[in-house]
Amino acid sequence: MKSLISETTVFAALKDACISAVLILVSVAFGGLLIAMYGFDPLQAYGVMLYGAFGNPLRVSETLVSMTILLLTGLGTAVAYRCGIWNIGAEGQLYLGALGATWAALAFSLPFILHLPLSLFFGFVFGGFWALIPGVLKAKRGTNEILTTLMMNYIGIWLVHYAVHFTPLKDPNKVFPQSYDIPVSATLPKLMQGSRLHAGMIVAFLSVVAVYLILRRTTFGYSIKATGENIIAARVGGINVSRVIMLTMLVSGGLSGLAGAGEVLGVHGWLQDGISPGYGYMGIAVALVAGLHPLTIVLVSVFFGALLAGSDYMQVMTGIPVALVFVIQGLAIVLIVCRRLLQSFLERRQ
Amino acid sequence: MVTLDNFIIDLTVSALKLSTPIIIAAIGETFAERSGVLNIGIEGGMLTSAFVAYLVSIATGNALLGIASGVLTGGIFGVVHAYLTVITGADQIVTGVGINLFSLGLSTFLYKHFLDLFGQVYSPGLPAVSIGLARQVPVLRILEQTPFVYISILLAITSWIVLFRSHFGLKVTASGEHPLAAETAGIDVHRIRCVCVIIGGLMAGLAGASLSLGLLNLFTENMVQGRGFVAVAIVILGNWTPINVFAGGLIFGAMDSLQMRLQAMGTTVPYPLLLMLPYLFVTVALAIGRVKMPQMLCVPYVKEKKRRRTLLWHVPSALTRSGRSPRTRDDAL
Repeated sequence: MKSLISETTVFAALKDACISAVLILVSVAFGGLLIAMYGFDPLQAYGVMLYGAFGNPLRVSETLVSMTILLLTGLGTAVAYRCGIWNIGAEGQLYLGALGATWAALAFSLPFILHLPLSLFFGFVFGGFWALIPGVLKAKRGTNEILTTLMMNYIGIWLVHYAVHFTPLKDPNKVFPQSYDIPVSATLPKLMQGSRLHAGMIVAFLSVVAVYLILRRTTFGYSIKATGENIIAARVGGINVSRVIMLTMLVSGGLSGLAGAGEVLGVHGWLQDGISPGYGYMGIAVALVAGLHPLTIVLVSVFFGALLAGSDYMQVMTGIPVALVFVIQGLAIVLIVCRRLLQSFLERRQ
Repeated sequence: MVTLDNFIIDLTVSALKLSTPIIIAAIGETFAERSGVLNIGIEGGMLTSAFVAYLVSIATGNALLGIASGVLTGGIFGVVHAYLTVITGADQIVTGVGINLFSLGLSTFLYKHFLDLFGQVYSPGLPAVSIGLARQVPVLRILEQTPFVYISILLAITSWIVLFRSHFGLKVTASGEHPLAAETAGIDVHRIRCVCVIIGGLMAGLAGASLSLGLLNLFTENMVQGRGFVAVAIVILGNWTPINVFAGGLIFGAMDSLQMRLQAMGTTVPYPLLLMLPYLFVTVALAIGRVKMPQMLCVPYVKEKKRRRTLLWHVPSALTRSGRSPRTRDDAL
């Protein structure tokens, strides 16, 4: 029998994703019930949602904007889970990444060709650093990473709150507590005129390729998977397990940090409170639904991105609250948990 | 004129008020965690319970019925979490994240619908205890609280007795520390864990009700705002002991009300730094290894007779060497 972690082939992950898709449909149907309660025809409302996600190029761009951030947090989460580390700190790592990118963008004055990569790099490093702390604690002292990453989410969120209220990053001339505007030289260029779609999407896709290749083709990737499979066998086999854990956390947090950097450098153009309404937690959903495979994560994050963009549009057009998305996502996670149980039950009967 | 006396009394009053939901939830979570289950779904349980309590309280005009239904809702969340994580061994964190997302969505969605229909309505609430002498002796104002405050004190004491001075408490600790030994001694580990998670759920429900019916008699979108996670943090800070958990919750409430007051007075104290302190303390405490957590927290237990037949899907196989359930935490990690 296979554990979740060991499903390495893209086909296994795809099969996984297909079954998950059915369960997501069940959750969507439940969402339809809620819509009906709201006094709308669910099919019609979902039609509006579909239009809102893919109806015209502008709507597609919105879907892709949401996809970008979910792709990065999902990917970051998946890398850690493949190593057997329960990193639930993507939210905090995203905030730190946003902070790091903002700082680098405002502190330096460089030409575009250097400034943007540097800001992104700082986003990666800050996010990675935030994950590295629990990683080091786990590797060196055996500290439970679930608890530390969970706690550090909130430290990170309050740190950003502090930064935009009390530090020199805050622009005193703005009505709302926000940082100074990101200079043009550090802004992610727009990919489509008049939309919010930014070059962060390319960064996200490059990250997918990089993670795929690392997991598939490198010694480091092999040691990640080996550690996730059986940490004791990995150690006996000569893998420096604690180094693998720390490096994995660095990469995992860095990817979530890039998501935050993209949000600041590409979407908002400044740092503010609440830049993420739970994208980090949604990343967990993305990673699990996708069966932890980098390529299926792309598909799943397009789906969840479409759900977000579509429900935004639906709220504007019909007044049905965006919160519907959380219901669908939450239910999908719980159902997918149940599905594994059903599967193991069936396998036991055979 | 604000005198220092008055300031301190006001601060204590509001600290008690603000910390009550967190304390109640944290005491419930203590049960779950001592038995070996980390339930981060209490955040969601509190939120939905707060909404249900508010709704029922308005519909029936009776705050007690509202509270009862809130507690019941929390209990249902507890049953779901217990079934998934204990009986079937699903991952505790994933299940909790799912429950939280679901509750956030559901309560917000239903509340928006409610707002469209009725607008913002105050629900009936519980009257605060009033003490006649309070006019003459201002210190007595500290005692003029909603009944929830008294309930939380009562819960802390009874929970301490149950956990540390009763047979049941011993079974709970055994289930969290060494489930295999517990089972060998004839304890039904699954039953103990389920009971504990459901107790935690019921208390989270009460905590949610105390949030909507104990403070402003209102519900607002995502009104729990991370208090469930604070509760999880405070359980760790309180070293899994109800009395310490109570004290920890109180300190958090005091810091929260202090920062609100300082903000209202227009001082520029960096209050975010105050608010992150509990999380920081927990991280540092975990890091320096000063906490003695239940050994098998977060590790599902597979019963001995079933072990041959079941493998767990959700745990990296490093956690379940060759199909055996890990015996000790060293085994597991």
